[in-house]
Amino acid sequence: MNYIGNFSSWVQDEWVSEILSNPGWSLPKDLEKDPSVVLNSDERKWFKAGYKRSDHFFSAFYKEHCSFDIKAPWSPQSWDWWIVKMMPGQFIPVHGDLSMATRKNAKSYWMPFQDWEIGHVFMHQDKTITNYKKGDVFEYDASILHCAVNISLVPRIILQVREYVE
Amino acid sequence: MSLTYIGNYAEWIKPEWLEEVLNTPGPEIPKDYRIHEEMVQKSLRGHFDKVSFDEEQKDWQQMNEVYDYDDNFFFEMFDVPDLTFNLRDHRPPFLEFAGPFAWWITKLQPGKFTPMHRDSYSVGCTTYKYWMAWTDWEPGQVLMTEDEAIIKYKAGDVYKFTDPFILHGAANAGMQTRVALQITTWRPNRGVGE
Repeated sequence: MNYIGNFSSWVQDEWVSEILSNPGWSLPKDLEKDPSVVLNSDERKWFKAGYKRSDHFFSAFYKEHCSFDIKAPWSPQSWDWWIVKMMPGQFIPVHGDLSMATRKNAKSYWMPFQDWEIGHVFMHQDKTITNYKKGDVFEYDASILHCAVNISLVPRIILQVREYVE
Repeated sequence: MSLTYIGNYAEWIKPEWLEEVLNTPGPEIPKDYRIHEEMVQKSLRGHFDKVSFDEEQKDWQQMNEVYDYDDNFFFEMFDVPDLTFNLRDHRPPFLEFAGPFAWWITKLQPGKFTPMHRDSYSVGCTTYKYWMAWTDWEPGQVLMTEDEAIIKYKAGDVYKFTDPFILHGAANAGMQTRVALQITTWRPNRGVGE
């Protein structure tokens, strides 16, 4: 987990308002709406462990869910982005983004849209990331096991950026 | 820091205790909380005290407003009447005080959690409070306070709350069930500290 810098002035308040007031994509529940989705091995492990595919773990917002586009100021390369909204009690179970393990020159970035709140946790391998500030950017190896939970009383909003160096 | 590591007492944990907790469905909190509380109080004190129940309910008031737990539950909680063993008959070796204590066990299956909360029943009283892992840490599991996130623990590790009134909670976003023991010296609903 490498700290890149803080870009809080770049985060627009209206993005946060829009995310908070819209439902986005309910995961993993809405995966069933897309027949092209194939579960990876970590996702299959979730459901063997007792997680239910019909549950709502968290909301994801892709470009098609947002009125705005993201051009991350720290990343000039081609990239994908999505935003994660976790309401209190929501989480994403441990997983590695397996596609990242085989893709050369790919980088993953993680940026909170709010200051850290007690009860918000990002776990990466055997480390926890807390006490961060709105706009902090971390580069992390997404192929390594990671997860996040929100056991606070306020929503948690995170931007994920994936960079592919040509 | 709000938690102090006391040591590892894995040898004190009897395998049959853990097995019983893992294989027994526990009262689902908060769904079963009221019914369970009445049963526990009647068992331990002979009657149900609504006043002290309401005091304990303060822990959950904020969560009632924020969390949507209709038909859902956060975690399973085992009190003395729920199990065939009583830890009062097997006094934990790490306790730093003489006298009675209350204990309960929490079981978090994958995807379960305890929201951040304060133990309101402790406020204003001299209180010792301990947390003991009964299962090894697995990725995705965390014990949190206002200033710490505890991971990488081993079964038998014991932590003492240096501030028993601090916000704390736990989550299991892992693949294995997590079991932990809580001990405190002040819990009127359990007949301790009165």
